[in-house]
Amino acid sequence: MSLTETVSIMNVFEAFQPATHSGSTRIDKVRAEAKAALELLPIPGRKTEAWKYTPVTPLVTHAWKPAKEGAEVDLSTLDIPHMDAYRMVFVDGYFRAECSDEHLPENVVLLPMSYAKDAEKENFDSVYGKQADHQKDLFIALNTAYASNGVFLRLKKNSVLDKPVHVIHVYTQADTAVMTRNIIIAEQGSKGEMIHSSIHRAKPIHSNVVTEVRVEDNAHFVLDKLQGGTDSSFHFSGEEVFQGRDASTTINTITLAGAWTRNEPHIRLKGSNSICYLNGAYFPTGKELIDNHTVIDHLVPHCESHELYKGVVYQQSKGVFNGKVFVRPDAQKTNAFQQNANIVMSEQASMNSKPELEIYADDVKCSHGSTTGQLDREALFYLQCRGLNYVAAKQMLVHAFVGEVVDRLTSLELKEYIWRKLEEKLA
Amino acid sequence: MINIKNLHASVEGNEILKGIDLRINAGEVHAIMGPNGSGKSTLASVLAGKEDYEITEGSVSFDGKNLLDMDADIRAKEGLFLAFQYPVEIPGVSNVNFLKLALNEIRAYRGQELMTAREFLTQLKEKSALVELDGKLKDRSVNEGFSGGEKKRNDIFQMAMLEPRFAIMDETDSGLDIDALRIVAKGVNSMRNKDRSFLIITHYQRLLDYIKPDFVHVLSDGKIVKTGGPELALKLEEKGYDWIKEEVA
Repeated sequence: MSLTETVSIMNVFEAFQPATHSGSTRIDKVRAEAKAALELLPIPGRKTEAWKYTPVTPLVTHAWKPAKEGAEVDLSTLDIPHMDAYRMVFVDGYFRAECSDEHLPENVVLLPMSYAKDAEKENFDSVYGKQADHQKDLFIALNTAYASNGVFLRLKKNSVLDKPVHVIHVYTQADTAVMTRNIIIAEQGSKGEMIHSSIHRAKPIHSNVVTEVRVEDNAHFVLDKLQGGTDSSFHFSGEEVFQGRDASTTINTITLAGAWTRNEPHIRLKGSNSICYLNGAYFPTGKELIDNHTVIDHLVPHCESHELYKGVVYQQSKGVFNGKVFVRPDAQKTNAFQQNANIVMSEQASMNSKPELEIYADDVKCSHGSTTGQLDREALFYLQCRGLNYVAAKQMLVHAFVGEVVDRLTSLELKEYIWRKLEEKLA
Repeated sequence: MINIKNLHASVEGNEILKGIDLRINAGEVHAIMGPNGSGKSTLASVLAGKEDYEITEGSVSFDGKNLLDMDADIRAKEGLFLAFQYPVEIPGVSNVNFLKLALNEIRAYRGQELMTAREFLTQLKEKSALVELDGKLKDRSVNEGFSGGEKKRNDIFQMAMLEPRFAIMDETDSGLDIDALRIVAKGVNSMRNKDRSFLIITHYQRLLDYIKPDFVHVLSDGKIVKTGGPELALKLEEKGYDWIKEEVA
């Protein structure tokens, strides 16, 4: 780490100084801590193992500006067709009440963070900055230092959300960086699903979303992330999940596009008999880079984790998968499964896949697999021989390959939307 | 229907086909027999449009059109069908959806009306029963979990659905037990008519007891070295290939 690097990152984000007082002592406290950390945290480079294949330079050196409020945006094309959901819209990080649903069931609290910090003070303070480590992780520190808004979702005890919450983030201003912070609390016995769409409409844009999720005992929560960037969007997404006993968490990460995308779901299984699913699909084309760095931490006995990531890597693009699984000394009877499979479609494309299992308990079942190959030429020829043209045959095989991941989503409308977007992209 | 003239083909610099001449008229069934490595499967692959082979000399016309200029899918659309020696398993691709898409692409190419879902299902039912695969195709991926015999029967079923004018059977009989062989033959025989031709590539005479060929050719070292009627197959079964090699030499 050199002094110039640390100076530069503070310079880059200098213009982002939020109001000295946010109105929340909790926010002010973690902001100050994060800023202090930013002064010290090194910029990861090629020699930093976790960032070996993913250069961060453009994110921390480009002259990013804060976005202005009130940008005009055509919201009509943002919805997932036929999807029935409670909608909440942010444009360039600013909450848009006029496009968001006001009426929610009584057992659900859905608010922008700017309201929740007061209205839900106790719950808010119990999570904010407690799960995401702004002391050690540069991008979490950046987020914590400069995040101004986001979603607060609380599913009250034993409540069942009748339809998903759909949070839509549209980014419309070139050269802006937008930091968003979400808090989700699924209280004991509750059940719900949130879809989080990130849509970039100008370039370049740097977006950073950190979501702290507390899934309490016997609660069941699903988060679907849809990422549709541009050929010069930079998107960081970190999910910091604490999960209680008898609970389940699912995070589906579908990266349709984006010049630079880094996903860091991090699940801590803190109560026994808990289960978590991480599913991911990614389709980099052109010169895009999509990096999925996952961490599942088995801290207690009798938990299960299932991880399936599949990617199709085109042209000169890059894919990265790193799946870390910790099985701590107490976590006996753990079942942990991880699978990463990739198809590399061109000689210029590359994929780096690395499973990392650290197992400190002796009575566990853990497996992992990583495969990277080309499209099955025999299968392609078979389909062509039956009359499908080359493009249709190829698409059918790609569809079949990633279908295993997409089929794990529960919503039919969401699946159809993903397939349609993919077809558009790969056409 | 199909006219192969002086066909030479190589793979990675090795010449496998060394001048094949073969003319098949509408309604005829030709069998090609020959020892291992004689080029039988290469001929099938070259005709179907596999790109691993380089055509160094010769021509193939299919109803007057240059077959070698066409992509594999265009050949299928023009009415050529290949039953594979080793039909592949394609996990995640539904048998029924894939076939429906293929069928409608072919029909669109031929200027025929697209099949309605109801028509398709009626045909599916009827033709899968022909090869005794009824009930085994729905909700399943192409050939996934099928036995060797079922895979071959699935190919014959696809042939029945796609109604080609010229079908090549690449060792469809190898590895089949006698019951599966009977089912495959029944499928093929039910499709024989005055407009449709077959090229049956086989290692064993046994299949020809069930599907009577009009002509039998012997392929050896990349060339057709002998042509006769069904009796030639019986003679090969009895005497092997050595006497032909001697005759040719």
